[in-house]
Amino acid sequence: MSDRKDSAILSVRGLKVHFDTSQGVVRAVDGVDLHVKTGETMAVLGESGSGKSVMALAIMRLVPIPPGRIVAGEVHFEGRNVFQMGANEVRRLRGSTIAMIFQEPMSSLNPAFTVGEQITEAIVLHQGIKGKEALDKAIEMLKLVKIPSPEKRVHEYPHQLSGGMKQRVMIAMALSCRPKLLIADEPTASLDVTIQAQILELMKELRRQVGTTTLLITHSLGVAAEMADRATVMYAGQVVEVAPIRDLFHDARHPYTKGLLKSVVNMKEGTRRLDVIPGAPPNPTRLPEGCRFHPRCAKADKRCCTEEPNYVSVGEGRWVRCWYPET
Amino acid sequence: MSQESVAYLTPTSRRQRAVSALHRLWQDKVAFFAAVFLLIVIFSTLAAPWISPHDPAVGKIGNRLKPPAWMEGGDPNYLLGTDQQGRDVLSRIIWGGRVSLTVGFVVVGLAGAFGTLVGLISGYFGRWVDLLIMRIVDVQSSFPGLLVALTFVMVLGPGQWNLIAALTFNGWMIHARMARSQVLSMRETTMVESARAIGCTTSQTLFGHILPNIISPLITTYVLEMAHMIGAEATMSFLGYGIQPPQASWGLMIGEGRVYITNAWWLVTFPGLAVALTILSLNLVGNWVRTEFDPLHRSRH
Repeated sequence: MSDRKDSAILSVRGLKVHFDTSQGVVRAVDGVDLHVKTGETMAVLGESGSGKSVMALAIMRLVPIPPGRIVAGEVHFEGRNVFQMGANEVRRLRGSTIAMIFQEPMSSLNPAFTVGEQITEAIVLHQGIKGKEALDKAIEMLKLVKIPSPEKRVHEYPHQLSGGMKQRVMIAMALSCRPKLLIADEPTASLDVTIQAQILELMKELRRQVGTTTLLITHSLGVAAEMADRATVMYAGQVVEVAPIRDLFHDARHPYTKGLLKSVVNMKEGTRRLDVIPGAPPNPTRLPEGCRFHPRCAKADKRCCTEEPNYVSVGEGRWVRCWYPET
Repeated sequence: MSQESVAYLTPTSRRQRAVSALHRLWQDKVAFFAAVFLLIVIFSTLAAPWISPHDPAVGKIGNRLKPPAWMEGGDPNYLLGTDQQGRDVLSRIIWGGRVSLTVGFVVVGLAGAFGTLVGLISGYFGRWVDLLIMRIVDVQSSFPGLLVALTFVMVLGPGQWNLIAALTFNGWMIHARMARSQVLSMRETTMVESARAIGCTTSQTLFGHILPNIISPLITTYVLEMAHMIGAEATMSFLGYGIQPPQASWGLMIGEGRVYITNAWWLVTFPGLAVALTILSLNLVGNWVRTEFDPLHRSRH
């Protein structure tokens, strides 16, 4: 992909992250390119096991090594290679310039500390303010994420809060140091639908207020449509399609993306039966030859089975990894 | 308390929390009496110079083997009777408790601190660090503890501090194993990942985030190990390799008194009771501590 504009705040190039397991080498991320422009929200779409979360961890250098291994690739953040930074430099980056919201607010908050103690920790670590001042800042952050009576809540333990509240606290923590890049890994996956809507609404509003560039990792097309400016679709550790979000929904080019879109309920068209993508995602220790999607692709031919396709430009800011991008 | 009222619970001060902890202790009657007994033991050993009626090391040979005060031939001056050298059994129990508790506290303090640190490091870093440390633990655990302690003391010579060294040398492995196993299950949680994601250093993650979450089972181990170590001190002293006469210790008293067990049962019974009740109380309190210090139980009551 030659989409290397200077406006990219985050560029991931040829990233390969493998895990050594007893079953063999799991190629969780296997040659991923991703470019996020300043101020935009980029959605990373893909099913479980497509490597989206591992990629997110790799950006923050949080992949556990071992069993993980960064085999190849670079991550550039504001023009600097994250993989070449010293341990201290990376640590200063985490939480202050790049922040992360995790999938499960229930288990990512520390049960032994109050909400306030946890938000102030990030503030104390990166902003050099302490005590009362840091606590005030924490209360201010809780206000920002619309938690009622924040002065009281700040002294409560995570188990005293509901799931939605916890996710709000996580967002408050992540935004407390005004990060330039927010990585949200399935921020609404474990919440019920009404709370999901509230959290998404909150994130949208905060984006307008704070203007943080967001990398939104999700398996939900609905969430992506709601939130993102552009989307990157991943399959079996690779990027298969990149497109502005509208184009992706109206004119998807990769058979996998098309399949995904068809498998979602569409109220307007009154579909009776949903389409499914036949087969299952490949075993990550034994990925198929050629195009990784070919065993499940209706259009696959001989070339798809043997030769791996490369990115093809199919319009302004659009890329597809397929031998037959026009059909 | 219903769910709703829990959610709107006002933040409690440290004092309020302490009061409610005591209230819960009172509700658990068994643990309460065990705690009271321990407090009495701790207090009486601390105040030994003032409350013990006689010198524990000096006796009048003419008073030898007097039965407890309430029995025929007993002397009201010697509440629990006297031993073969005419020394007051009660005074010796009070002073002996000093030795037993000191050994228990100090050994668990040293072995617990060292073992927990080693276990944390082993569990968190994994790989060859873990492999190396755990093999050392395995090798050291495979020797019979008593035998190692005996050898240790035979080389260093008997005495309270050498005994403490021997028991510490023998007692750190369980703390290392406990801490390691707790860290292993903790290390993989999103909580630790998110601590690192906000920029915590390794030691901040390990001591600031992991340790507070695993401390409650560890505290239970500390308390239970204290009971174990008091027992070990008694065993070593009984065998003659711990505390040396004329100093008193519970184990030593049992050891010295066993010759007279047929005609002077009180020499063995009272120190034996002291050991047994202290160990039992520590175990009971240890159980209570486990539920009390569980972070998930905090302010849930």
